[in-house]
Amino acid sequence: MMARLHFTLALIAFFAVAPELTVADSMGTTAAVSRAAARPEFRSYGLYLDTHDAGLGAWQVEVVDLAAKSRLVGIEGGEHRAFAQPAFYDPKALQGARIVLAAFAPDDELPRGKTRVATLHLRVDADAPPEFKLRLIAAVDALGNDIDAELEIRQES
Amino acid sequence: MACSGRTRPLYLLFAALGLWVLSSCDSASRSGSLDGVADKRAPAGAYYRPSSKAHKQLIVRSAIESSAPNLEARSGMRRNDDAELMQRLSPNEEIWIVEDSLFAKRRHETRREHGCYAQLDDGGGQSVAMPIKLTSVRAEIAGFTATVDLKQVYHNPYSQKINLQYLFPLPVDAAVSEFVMTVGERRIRGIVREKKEAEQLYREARDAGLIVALLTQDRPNIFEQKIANIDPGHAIQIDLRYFQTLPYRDGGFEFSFPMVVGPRFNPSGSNDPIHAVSRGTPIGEDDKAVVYLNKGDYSGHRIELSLELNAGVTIEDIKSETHRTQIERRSDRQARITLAASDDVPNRDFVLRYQVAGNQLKTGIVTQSDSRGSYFSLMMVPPRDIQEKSRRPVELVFVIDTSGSMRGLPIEKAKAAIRRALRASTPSDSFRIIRFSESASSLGEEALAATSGNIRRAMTYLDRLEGGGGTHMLAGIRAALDPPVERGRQRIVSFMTDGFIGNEDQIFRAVYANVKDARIFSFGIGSSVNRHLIEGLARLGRGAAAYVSLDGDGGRAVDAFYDRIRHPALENIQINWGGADVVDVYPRRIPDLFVGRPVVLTGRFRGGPPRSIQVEGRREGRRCEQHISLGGRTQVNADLSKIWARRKLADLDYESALGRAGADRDALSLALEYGIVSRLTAFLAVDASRRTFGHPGPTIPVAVPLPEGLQPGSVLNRRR
Repeated sequence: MMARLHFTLALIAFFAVAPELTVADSMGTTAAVSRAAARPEFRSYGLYLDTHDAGLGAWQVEVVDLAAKSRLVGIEGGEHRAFAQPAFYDPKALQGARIVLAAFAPDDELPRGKTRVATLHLRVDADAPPEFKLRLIAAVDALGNDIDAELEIRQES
Repeated sequence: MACSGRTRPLYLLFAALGLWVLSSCDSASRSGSLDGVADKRAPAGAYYRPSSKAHKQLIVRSAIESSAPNLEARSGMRRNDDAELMQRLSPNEEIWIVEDSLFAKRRHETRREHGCYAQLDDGGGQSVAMPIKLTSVRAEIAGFTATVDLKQVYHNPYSQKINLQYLFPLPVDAAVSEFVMTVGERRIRGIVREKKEAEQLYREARDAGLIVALLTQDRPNIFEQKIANIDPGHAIQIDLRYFQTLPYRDGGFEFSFPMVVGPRFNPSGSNDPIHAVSRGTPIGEDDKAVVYLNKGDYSGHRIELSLELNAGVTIEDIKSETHRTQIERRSDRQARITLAASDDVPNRDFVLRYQVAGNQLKTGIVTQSDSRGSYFSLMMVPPRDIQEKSRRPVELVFVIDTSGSMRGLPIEKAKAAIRRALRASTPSDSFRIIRFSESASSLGEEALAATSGNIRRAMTYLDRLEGGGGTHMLAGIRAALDPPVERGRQRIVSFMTDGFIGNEDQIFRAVYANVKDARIFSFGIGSSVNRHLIEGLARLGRGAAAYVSLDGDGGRAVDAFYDRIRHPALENIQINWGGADVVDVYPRRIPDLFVGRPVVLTGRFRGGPPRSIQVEGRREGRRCEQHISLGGRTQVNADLSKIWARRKLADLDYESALGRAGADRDALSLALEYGIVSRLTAFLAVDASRRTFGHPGPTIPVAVPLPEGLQPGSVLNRRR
């Protein structure tokens, strides 16, 4: 019961920061988005969080393609059961060519160490592969405490 | 699994290649047999399965049917498949050629080129293989808001890769804001994109051999699901979530879930027609068409439905006139309703009504806040003293749809409703009856006094009406609204129609231009009516919509209609929000308040929510006002921000239909920001992690049953 309460508090804390974060600097990518790539390809990219020994209760990240040619076409759930449901995205941020994702674990069994929390499916321009700039906005444990984590993106296909 | 093992039957591939070469040199009627490999069978769904061991297995389904007539087309595709497979082979890989017994019984197959219509026939039986298996609806109702989770399970029962397209209905005010495609165990969230861009991305992904799903809106109540590259035997699940507010009409709240799109008639001038064809009729990939099962066909598509109802106040009665249900009362305020397993054919709207204790229905507000701001929905109940006043004389104009789709029971229901209304009229009223199908005509040239003699004449006129021909509703609208109305009378127009037309925007423009001071009360008659049209007519005509199912007697709807027009409405309503900072309230034009019909408004607020409101309006030309305390607000689970955005989009869509510049730009921006499907946005989900083999398959339209009560010959294949 106590754990649930803490977890709820963690979620509240997590989503409370979302409004401010979703209006963060878009790094000037908005106007540069190309609607028609010269040679389109579809690729998937794994998004990994390494929390070392801490259990990951919720997370929020921002992904920006500096090449500004990619288009997000799907978000897949992560490898651990706690994050199997695909993360939510901020549609308003997407209008600004930023991908802001967030997810929370619905139960108490949390992943530790390095885990793929999501897979991004993108349409990219084969002649101008994406250059990602990543920002970890939040990673919290089940109690809503910030935890140290490293964020990584890796091409899967 | 039957295909496991470490043998290397490459000879099977060569045997198959030999057969395909032979078959390509022969005609389509040449029979092909791979008896030598027929014992290497795989269960449905085996196509490409990485082994857990070091070896990979490529398992190729070969559609081996001794009577298959289209080996010519198949052979070309297979050769390319095999060339690709060979290129991808490495020394530690193996190939199996298998037959799936699922398809052995298929007797013949008709097919057009990629992107066009194709179908498989069962060879004379009643069962027709269709790529949809299940629609599952789970709804949570809290007060007058609903959160609905809709699951659609598709599969590929054929011997080759397919694409599918499926036109299906949703409630007209549904704010669809979640879309998840499940492929095997993997769940991929769809992204809202501008519709044109999403369609382009869909085509690119499809042509790249990826599994991709696209959800678009063709009308506010008609959506299209496309899924590309479904491998033989594989299943794809689509999960949607939408939010809506529930209307209160005729004495109860109403939850409805439409199950099938009725066949639309598209008069000349229709910009974006939706055709209605029977299964087997060729259609182009870009054609919008609802394909209907033929008489006696059964597709196996089932529907499940369950509702969790928490009314918040005491529930007096729960009832569905359209379906058999099981109702479990959990408390005086809560109930669980499930659709009976014996009633699982999706061929008519599901409608559930629940009544709350009359004295508990009060003006109330629900609120919700998120990162975008604070939102509310206000249900405004008409003041009680509205029933104490009587109204000025009316001219009743009954406009009855006598087109082919109304033939039989629907037109009899419409006639019964008009008869009942006429019997309730008073001699001070006047009336007209107008019928329309290919053209419009009326009983007499002018309005008749509602005398007993004229009513008898009307009854005889109604007796002679039958259904047949097209649905040229514009003719009916002009006949109803163009003639001048006698001074001192209020014109009340009642449309009696199933609304099966494809030119809604044309109709709305005509009504807007001609309605003047008339009020429109539209009656949807039938099992699966076009609620977009019915609600739109009432909205533009500042009246109300009602529905008469084929199962009910329609008496309640007609009586409620008469109760409304017997008393003056509160018109030109404005609301003082009592100091609360309320903005962006929709609908912008607040509907008139009639007896027995609350109005739901949705808006945004900053700071605290409104605690009380001052409602001002005019009744019979005199200014009236009422102070209403809203009491405690209620937080709801339903996403009011999405409901608000959907309401605003509806307003913008009307403005667009009526020609307001900039309405489309505003609507696109809003839909993208709130992540909901609209006329200008679509959901797209691509699985970029795995490419399916071979060329794109044919596109299979999902055939659906005709709405209950319709006669196929009168409504299908009427393409203009």
